[in-house]
Amino acid sequence: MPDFVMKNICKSFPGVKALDNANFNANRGDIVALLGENGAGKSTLIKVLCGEHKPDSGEIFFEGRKLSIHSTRDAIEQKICAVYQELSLVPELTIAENMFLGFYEVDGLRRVNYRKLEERTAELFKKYDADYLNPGMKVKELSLAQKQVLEILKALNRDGDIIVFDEATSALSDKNARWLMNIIRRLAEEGKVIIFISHRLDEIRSLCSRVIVYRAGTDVADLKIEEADSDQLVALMLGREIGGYYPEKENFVREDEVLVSLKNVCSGHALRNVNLDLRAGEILGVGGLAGQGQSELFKCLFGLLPYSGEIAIKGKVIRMNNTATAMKQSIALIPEERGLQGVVLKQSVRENIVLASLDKIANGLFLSKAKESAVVDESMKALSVKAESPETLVGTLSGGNQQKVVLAKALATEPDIILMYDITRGVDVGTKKEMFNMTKQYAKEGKAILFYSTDSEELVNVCGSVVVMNGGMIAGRLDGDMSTRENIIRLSVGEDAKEENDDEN
Amino acid sequence: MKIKERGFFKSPAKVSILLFIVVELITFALQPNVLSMSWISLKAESAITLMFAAIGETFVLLIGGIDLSIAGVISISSSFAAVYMKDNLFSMIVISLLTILIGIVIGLFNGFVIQKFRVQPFIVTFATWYIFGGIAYLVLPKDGGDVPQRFVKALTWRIGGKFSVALVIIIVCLLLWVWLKKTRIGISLFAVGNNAHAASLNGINVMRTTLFAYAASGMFAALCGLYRVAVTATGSPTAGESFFNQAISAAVIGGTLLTGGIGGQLGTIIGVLVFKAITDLLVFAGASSYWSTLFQGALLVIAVLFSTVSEILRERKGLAE
Amino acid sequence: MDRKRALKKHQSVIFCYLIAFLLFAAFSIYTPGFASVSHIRTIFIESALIGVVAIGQTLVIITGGIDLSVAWMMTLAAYMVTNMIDSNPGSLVWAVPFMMVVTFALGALNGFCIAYLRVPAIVMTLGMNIILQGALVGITQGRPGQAASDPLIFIGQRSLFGIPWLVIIWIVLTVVVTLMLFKMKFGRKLFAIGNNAVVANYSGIRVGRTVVLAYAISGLAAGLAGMLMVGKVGSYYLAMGDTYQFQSIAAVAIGGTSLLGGNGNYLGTVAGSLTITILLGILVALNLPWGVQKMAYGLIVLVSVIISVRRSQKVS
Repeated sequence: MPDFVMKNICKSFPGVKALDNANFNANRGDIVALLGENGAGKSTLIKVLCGEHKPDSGEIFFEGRKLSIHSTRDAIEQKICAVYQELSLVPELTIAENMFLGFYEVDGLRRVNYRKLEERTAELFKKYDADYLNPGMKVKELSLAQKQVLEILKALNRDGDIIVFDEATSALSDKNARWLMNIIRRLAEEGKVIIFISHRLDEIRSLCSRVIVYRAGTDVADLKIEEADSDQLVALMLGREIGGYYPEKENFVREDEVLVSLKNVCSGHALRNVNLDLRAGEILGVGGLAGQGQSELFKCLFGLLPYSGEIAIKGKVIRMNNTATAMKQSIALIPEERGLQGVVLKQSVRENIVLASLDKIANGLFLSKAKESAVVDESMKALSVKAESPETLVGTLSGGNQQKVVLAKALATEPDIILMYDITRGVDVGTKKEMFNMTKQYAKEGKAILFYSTDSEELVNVCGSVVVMNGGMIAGRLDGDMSTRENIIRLSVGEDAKEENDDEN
Repeated sequence: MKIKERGFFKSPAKVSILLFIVVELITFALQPNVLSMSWISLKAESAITLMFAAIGETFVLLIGGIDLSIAGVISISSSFAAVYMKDNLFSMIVISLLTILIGIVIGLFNGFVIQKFRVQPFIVTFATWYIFGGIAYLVLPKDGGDVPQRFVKALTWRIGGKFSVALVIIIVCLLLWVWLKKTRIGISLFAVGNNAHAASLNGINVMRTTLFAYAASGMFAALCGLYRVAVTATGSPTAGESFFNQAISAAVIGGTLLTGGIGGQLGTIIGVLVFKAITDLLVFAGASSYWSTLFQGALLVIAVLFSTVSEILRERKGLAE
Repeated sequence: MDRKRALKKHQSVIFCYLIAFLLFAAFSIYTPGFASVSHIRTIFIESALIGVVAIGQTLVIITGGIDLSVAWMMTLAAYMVTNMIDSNPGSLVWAVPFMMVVTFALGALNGFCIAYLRVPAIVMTLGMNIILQGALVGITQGRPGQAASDPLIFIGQRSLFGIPWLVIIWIVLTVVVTLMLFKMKFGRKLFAIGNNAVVANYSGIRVGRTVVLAYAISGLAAGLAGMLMVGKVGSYYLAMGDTYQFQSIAAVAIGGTSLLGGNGNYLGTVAGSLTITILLGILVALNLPWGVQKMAYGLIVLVSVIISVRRSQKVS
């Protein structure tokens, strides 16, 4: 048996099976890459390992011993540590305090020994060539890249036997990325188990000895790195087409009717000079790795995020200060987090559907029951929302039906421009199919649709064209035959798109 | 490499320190020759009850909570001590310890309900304020009680005829805080208030930290009630009513944020002194005592607005960068 | 089917009236005078004042906030319609509208600081309460107040066909508030904000404005209650509103409105007001000290919060 084994891990969330009999194994001294598309279950696996999620079933062994991990503290005490993609630093504490957070050495008076703390921090920084960081500085004064470095150093400081790097290189400069890779090699030589998650194939190739590929919540391949060529890995990540539930693509684009036009839109570090045109009848896909500015792009368009630059709707420049302004321009948003942003879980289907279009169901001062039930009945039918009655609480519906309520709420405002952010997340196959058909129907009606998905297969099959975002910028636009999953991934990882001849889809 | 200390200009207490200096300078300008050890001792005595209340409240504010129940705890401890304390050393010690224990238990209850059920702290502590404020009336229906003279004397004693016990206690509190701030639990308070999720990812026990903060709040509120008994030589079932807003004012003036994670007891203690100094100044300036309530309310709202608005401006600046 | 569902939806409100009635019935057997017509009248008159204050409290609590400034907002209004004017009833023509504008504006100021400047509701409204108290104590220098003028006395103490004017006004306001909550856009917005302000914002609702309006109405309702109270007791006195601060919150809590926000019904609050008044009557009749009353308020809030938490855990 290998030194480190995760066996038959299962984990479900309401409406989603995130891990389905997932396995992982590695030996001391191995650097194993964990590869997979967004939502393939990599992050959930790591969270189970680090004690953040409790698995429904499954076992974890290290050196033949079964580990029982009930909390994050258990994990750290059993020498498992992780560099989190979302940082786990406390901004108001100093660097040194953060480095040892939760595991301070204390002196006779039970006081944290600050001198030793800062000495040890400085020592560690020296060991890993990071002594440009001042241990006495507060973390909030650091740049994002520096915080990322600190997050890495903190994990190293825990002196784990199993170290996870979850997209640790994504916010690093090239120089820092090289620095990190040297460190990882050194750790492997010291006999640690390294789990390395990254989307950059070149990094994986130069660093890892093995690669384990995840798809749809389970491991689908375990390869030596020499045996795996890039095309094969991409194919494994994507899997064979399930296919069949995408409607035939048709072109309804009205070339001369630009509904949305973005000029040099910037927002903090998240969006840099985005230029984009969206036409009536167009379904424009937005792709790329997670967190490359897609969410911010949608938020800017819906008045949820301050920005600089120009957003023009139907030829008129509009300042999107708040959601009400955006909705007045007949924009609708299907947001990212269904339960947090999309629907009020503790209210009924009826109340949710009309929430964004209260003006439409009012007669003067009062709400009209007749108008309201007309709107509710019509949208429930149009989207075939499966609920016992309009009075059913949304929180008791399945994920797919909740998402339909979100769609119904947006459509009840009769929008011309629909921003769809990952509408099929945690939704069953049948509902997905319905949603794609509806999307096509809206395009046919002349609505403009901006369609983000974490699943490149959806982008290719639903959208006429796809823009791929990387680092807050639009890395490229893929039209027609160029819009393939391979090209989307190429653009996402900073390579150039190329013409495909041997299209195996 | 030279490790940079947290300088004065980075301290959240800087505004209150400046304010304190200004107010004191005005006081001395108006009343020269006032500065003496016995004057300082007197000031400490007048500030000590509020200081206990504010110190307790600060613990809870640091983790991002709020504790209205200190009003109830102060009332109940004041009533309890005034009614049951007998004039012998054994009774004085036992009753004092029991009073403190009551405060701690109430605090633990608050913290447990808040963290276990994930309820907003203001509702829970609001309810416990009334519950224990009500019990205070059952213990002691109206102001009075039989406070042992020796207890009063012990807590208002002047060591060497100069140093009041209160002054000593304040200094001890300050030293304790300097110590606590550097212990594991001290740092956990800041970590939980600043970013509870990050704290828990690093293996910090959020429940234990919450219980500690509310228990500390309860304990200091009980100390406040106990000391109030000695200072006024009487117990009162309404002893705590005005302490909550004063404690919040003092903590916020001292640079502690209501959103948690920033602040500390040094600032709070100076905040209390500023609060008291301004009150004294108003009296000295001849303001009628009828206006003192208005001043308290205005100070609370202005201090809190100053703190939240400057936070909002700082955030805006952060976004613009 | 529909009737069954409606019954289930309103069961907490119906339950609340049941409690009020049972309390009343049980105690009537214990003390015969309790169920007399005149005592029932008194119960309704007392409840009317609590109920009017609790209008604003209900709206504010539905948004997930709380209003502790109602006590001195009431006293301020009472001051404005008595001490600020002479005893000539004619001056009420401007004093009453002026009082309404001021209380509405002060409530709006609460809301503005809470919604836009992020001051915690509890601190802001408590601060406002203390400021109003301080201002009134300062202005009057603690002197006793002036008697109410005749029109106020008329409304506060007379009846129409045997029904006290206070109760009639309460009934009218109950209808208005119920319409506002369930038949107007404002109500929908309040419930959405209280349940999930983010979803409300994503649905194009101007969250800040709605919250400001809720606090403004709360100020106005407290103002009206203060004016009615002056009429009922005959004159203005300091601290006249003090007990209403907690009574209004307890009435909302008993009435089944979740103190966590997002759920509630003014008709429940009406039952809550009656329950509080009956409970108070019982405590007085049993000669129980004020401490018991205070404790009871605290327990009511604590229990109702825990019930709300468990109910909401069932949904998600």
